[in-house]
Amino acid sequence: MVAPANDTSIAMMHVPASERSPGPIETFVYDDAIVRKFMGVTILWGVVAFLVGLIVALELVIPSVIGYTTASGNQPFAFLSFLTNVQYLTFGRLRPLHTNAAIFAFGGNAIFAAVYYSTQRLCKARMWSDRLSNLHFWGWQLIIVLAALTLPLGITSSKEYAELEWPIDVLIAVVWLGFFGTNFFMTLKNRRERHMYVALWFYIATIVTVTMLHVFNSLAVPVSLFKSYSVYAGVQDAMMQWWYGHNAVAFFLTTPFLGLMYYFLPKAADRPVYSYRLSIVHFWSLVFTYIWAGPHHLHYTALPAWASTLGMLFSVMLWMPSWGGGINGLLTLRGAWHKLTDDPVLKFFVVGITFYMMSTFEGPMLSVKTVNMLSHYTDWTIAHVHAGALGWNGFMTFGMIYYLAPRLFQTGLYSKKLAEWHFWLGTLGILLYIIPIYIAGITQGLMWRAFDQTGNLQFPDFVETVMRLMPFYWIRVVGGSLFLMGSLLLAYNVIRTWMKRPAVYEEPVQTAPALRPERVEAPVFASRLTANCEFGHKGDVMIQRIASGFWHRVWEGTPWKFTFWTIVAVASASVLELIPLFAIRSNVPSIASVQPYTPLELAGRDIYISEGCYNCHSQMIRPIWAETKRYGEYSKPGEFVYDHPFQWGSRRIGPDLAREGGLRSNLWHLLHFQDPRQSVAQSIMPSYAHLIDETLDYDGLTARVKAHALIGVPYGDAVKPGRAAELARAQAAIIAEDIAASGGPAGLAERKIVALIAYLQRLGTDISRPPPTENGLPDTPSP
Amino acid sequence: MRLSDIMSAMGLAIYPTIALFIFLAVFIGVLIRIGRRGDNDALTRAGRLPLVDDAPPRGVGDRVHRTEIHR
Repeated sequence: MVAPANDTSIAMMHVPASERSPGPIETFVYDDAIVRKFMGVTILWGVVAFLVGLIVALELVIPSVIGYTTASGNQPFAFLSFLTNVQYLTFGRLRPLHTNAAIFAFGGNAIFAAVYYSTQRLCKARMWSDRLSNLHFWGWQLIIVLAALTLPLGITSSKEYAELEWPIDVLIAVVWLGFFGTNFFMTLKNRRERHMYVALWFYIATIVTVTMLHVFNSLAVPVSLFKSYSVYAGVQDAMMQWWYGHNAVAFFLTTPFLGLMYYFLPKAADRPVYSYRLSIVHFWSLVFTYIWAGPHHLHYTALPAWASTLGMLFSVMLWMPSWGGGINGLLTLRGAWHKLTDDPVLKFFVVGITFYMMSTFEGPMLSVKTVNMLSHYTDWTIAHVHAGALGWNGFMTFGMIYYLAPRLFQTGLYSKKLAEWHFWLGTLGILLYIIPIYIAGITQGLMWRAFDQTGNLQFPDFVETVMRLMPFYWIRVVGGSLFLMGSLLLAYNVIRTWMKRPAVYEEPVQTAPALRPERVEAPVFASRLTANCEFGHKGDVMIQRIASGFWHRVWEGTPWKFTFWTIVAVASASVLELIPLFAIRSNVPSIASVQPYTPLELAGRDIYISEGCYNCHSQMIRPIWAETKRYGEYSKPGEFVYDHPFQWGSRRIGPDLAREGGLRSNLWHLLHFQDPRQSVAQSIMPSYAHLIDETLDYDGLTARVKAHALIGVPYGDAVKPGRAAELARAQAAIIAEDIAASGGPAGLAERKIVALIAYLQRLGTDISRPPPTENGLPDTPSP
Repeated sequence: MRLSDIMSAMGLAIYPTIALFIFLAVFIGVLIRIGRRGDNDALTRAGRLPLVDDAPPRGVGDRVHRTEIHR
């Protein structure tokens, strides 16, 4: 595109004198090797994330067909039973691996490829330190490998999208801020272009906010190298977690990808962004608003209603900046729509932005309490996030890779036709994923709340509402497979392109004048008032300065000021929202009869966390008639004050367990864990038979109890050496005897299963107990 | 007396509501900033930055577009 002939002169008129003479000319070379590395691993981890997603999707349908027998007596699906009984492969352990791989391995590396490519070019500067670039690259890959090893082993904090244990959390902070952040900000400091393009603003917001979210949500007391307890409990932990969880969506999956959009879309379309003004509104309103939205994940839970309403209001407001940004992206193609027919890069971008707009319309809608009442805990949320993750993050990444591959490998793309195939397979895959899952979500939500004419639940048996979803789950498997196949085509295409690369990459030497150190001079305003009042004159000058927008021009050219105000925006919102919840006691009224878990129950709770039970079972009964009818008395904030971390969950693939205690016998639980289909024929739960064989580490209990005591749980004399194990053994003996007496196997007192049963039998029973006569650990073991 | 007793007595419950209005005001402030006509040229130039970065100008100052160099 040719600029107007007088473009330079017009621009120069508005440049202050101090900037008109450029600094000395400097030469430099962009570091594209690091971009090639990040792009390569983006594809690799993308394939892994999609494959694990396909496996967990299969795990939800396999149990319903394993027992299928043909007329000739064959069981064609029996070979898949390892997906339901190998402890390292259960849904509860693999689902976090899938989400972490998709968000932080695929999405993360895609962000880094985009940032390293565009930042250098927008700053007209090589990345500040090649060493930091490489430390960042290898450090991040190490984190991913550690995640892939620890999560299937059941080493998890159970906080969604932040499951990794504390040593890996420390590593993340070092790699993210120490290596990535330092390198990025120093590159900004040494840039040769005064104005920071809007993409860089989004990167700044990403780096500072993710640091803040990660550090505060991950605060925990370590027990060992592989185990820690969140310093927050119950309602506060839930609030912290979803403040983090929602803003991980905002500042990991949205802002950096918007930066990517604002940089790569204009390049691919060869058009400047539709409206740079709109991008400014987009940025600030997004940064100011997103940070508040987290509580909409906790509607009708034990979270105080004001927090939930606040989250809803800000979520609804988010619709405006999100669509402003989406429209800004789509209209960038004005006059270039014909290019869409034969450019796969633009195809991916346009569909990606369309999914962004769909998701950001749907998100505010789902945050409205009445809609959320139906959608929460159902597959509706799963469909929503996949529209965003596959459509927006996936397609924007694919578009970027098809744009970058020929440029980075300095040769033509191996096959445009394969890229077209990828586009159509991906699009079809997303649709076949989300449409049936929307139907599944709404179906199950309606079934949970359906009453018959006698006033009883129409579907009292939970598993009935699960069975109804199976056809939709099978279609999802097909959709996911198509999406995975598309990504394999991408991998093949990029590998073949790479094979065509020149023997030595050309490294064009760039030249640009150094930035002069002078700042932009402030315009001088004179008071327009005639009144004889100094205060009035000063006020008028100030108003003119604010209205001139000069201050924002300064920010746009001064990274530290820009970063400072971004931090102020996200931190002040967080503080204003979180402090009242943490500091005001009336938000979490205490219940006298709620006591700490016994050491054995605590051990059971740790097994519950380790197995990832929260991935399928909630522990939060909402004050809704259909729920209290199905599960019992609704959950109170005061019931969770000793829950480090909280286990409310976000999805009910199985029933809620908040009032599970005392509902069934110990033997029932034992048999159910051994083989869920023995107890509930249609159950899709994996088998946990390994818990019957493995022995419980009684000696390690003291450390766990002590860690809880450190964060304020009144454990009394249970912290004394040996006392926790003594109490736990006494309670375990009672449960083991009860199981043996009921006709079950004998000698289970030393096994993990007993601890887990003890925990389940305690759940939700405290509010119906009399308050203890003295403060401290109840010495009487739970039934 | 614990910290939370003091905090509870401070009447912080109104904070989120106040913040809501502060944030709306900031939003309006940003609208005012971008609504000004004077910055047209600077903003147009800023919006074109991604299109000029691959082959930077050769020693004629950092405010000249690549397209102009090749014109």
